[in-house]
Amino acid sequence: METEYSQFNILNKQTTKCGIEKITVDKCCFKKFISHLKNSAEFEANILYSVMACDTSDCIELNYNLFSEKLNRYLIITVLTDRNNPVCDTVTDLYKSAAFDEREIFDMFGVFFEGHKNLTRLLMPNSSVGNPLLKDYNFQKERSVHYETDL
Amino acid sequence: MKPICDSDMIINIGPQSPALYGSMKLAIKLNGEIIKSVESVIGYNHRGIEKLAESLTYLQYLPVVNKIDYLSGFMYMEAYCSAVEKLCDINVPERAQYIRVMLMELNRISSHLFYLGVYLSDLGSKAQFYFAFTLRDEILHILQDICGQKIMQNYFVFGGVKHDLDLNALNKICDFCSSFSQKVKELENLIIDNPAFKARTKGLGIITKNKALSYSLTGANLRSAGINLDIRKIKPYLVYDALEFQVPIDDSGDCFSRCLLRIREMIESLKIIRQCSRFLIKSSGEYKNNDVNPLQIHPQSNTVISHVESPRGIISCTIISDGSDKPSRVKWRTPSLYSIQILPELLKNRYYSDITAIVGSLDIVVSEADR
Repeated sequence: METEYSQFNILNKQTTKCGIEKITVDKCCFKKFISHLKNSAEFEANILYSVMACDTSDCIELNYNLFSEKLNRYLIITVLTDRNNPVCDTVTDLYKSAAFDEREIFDMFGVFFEGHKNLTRLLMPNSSVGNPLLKDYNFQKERSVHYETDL
Repeated sequence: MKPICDSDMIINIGPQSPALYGSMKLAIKLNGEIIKSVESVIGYNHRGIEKLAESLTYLQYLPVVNKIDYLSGFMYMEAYCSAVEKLCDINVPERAQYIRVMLMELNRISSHLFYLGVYLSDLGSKAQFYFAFTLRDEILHILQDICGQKIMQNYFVFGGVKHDLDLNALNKICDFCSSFSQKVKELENLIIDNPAFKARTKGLGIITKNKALSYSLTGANLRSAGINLDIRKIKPYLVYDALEFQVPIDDSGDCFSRCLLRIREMIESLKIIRQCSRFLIKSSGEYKNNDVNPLQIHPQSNTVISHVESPRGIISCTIISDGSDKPSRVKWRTPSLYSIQILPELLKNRYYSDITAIVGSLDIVVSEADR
């Protein structure tokens, strides 16, 4: 397994407390890595459970929760994006379920997914300002949200 | 005959509509009676439940959790409690585990009965609606006796449950099991032998294996496509590995099979409840871990994920802690979000009248998707 993944730029490998392997990959080759995991006969990650973003102080971390039905195993692929200019490739062409997840992350964290066909806000109104799940989001300032009337 | 209008027409269903299960909007482009495209819009019920976690302590966040989905509160409580228990290495006593499993399965039955009642009434069969809701009411009364609440129970705590089950409550559950086992078969016959229901749902809204996996569907929606994936079997949590039950699967993937699978799941849940109540009547023990002080939860910085099989699919709760008494980030994976996502694909090129049959069969709770 180690030798096979060596072609991808793996930055870190750790195991979470609940025993799930977490692999941090460089942003430039993470999509190739996920596509490799999906198509390889060895792992066959056929379900992308969810995509989760997390605002650490210096970057925005994206976690792709993969599951291999064949091996009955979870795997988390982590990508770190720049906090000031968060851009990442979309995986909607590999997993259709990522479309809403990526829209939610765009909405809540402001991460721009290149190649996403309909990258609009998912949960917040289109007229709202800012990204609420960022740690520096100011509730007092961004309080006035105008709801659209074109229902 | 010349058509009155050959151009496309846009119809919005919702956000407030009796045909949808919560506040969501389906913007539908119609040509005559054929649906050309659909866009699903959600977010009308967004309560910021993930953001709330950052400002509340671990215990303060606990009652918020079962408000994510009003139909399966126990499942969300379990997902959150087990994540915190993993984070702080808290053991749950065996008796508490059995109580949790039993209540979760009662919750599963009540949720499926709600689904059946509403789905069948949407398709015009009012008798089954009253039949299913009367049965559901019996469960809600049992839950009210045990927890004090019918739907937002708030009964689980870190390391166990709030108080023990007495013999009276267990006897009530046993009585319910014996009466329900007959009635669920009646309910199944009402659906299997119902030509009107079959004509509306068979061969409609077919989800193939690949589509179900690609859209990350879980629960009965995935199992109706022929994939045997149930977290209770493949990654057992609590005492599920000690219990005997089957996971019903089907491979037709249409609305009819999704409905039928949920009825069969109720029969399996009944088996689990019987085994749990038998254990709880016989044995005694602690109902919670007395070493845990829920006010003093200070985990080290770590990441934990817990998965729970809810009536709608797999719930997962991810907690990232930073060493303080408040979580740094809580992420919920809610199965309804992914069921909503597949709607445009299922509704395309179908008749307008098929909307209720397809949307209803997926068991969507919009408040769960919106969080």
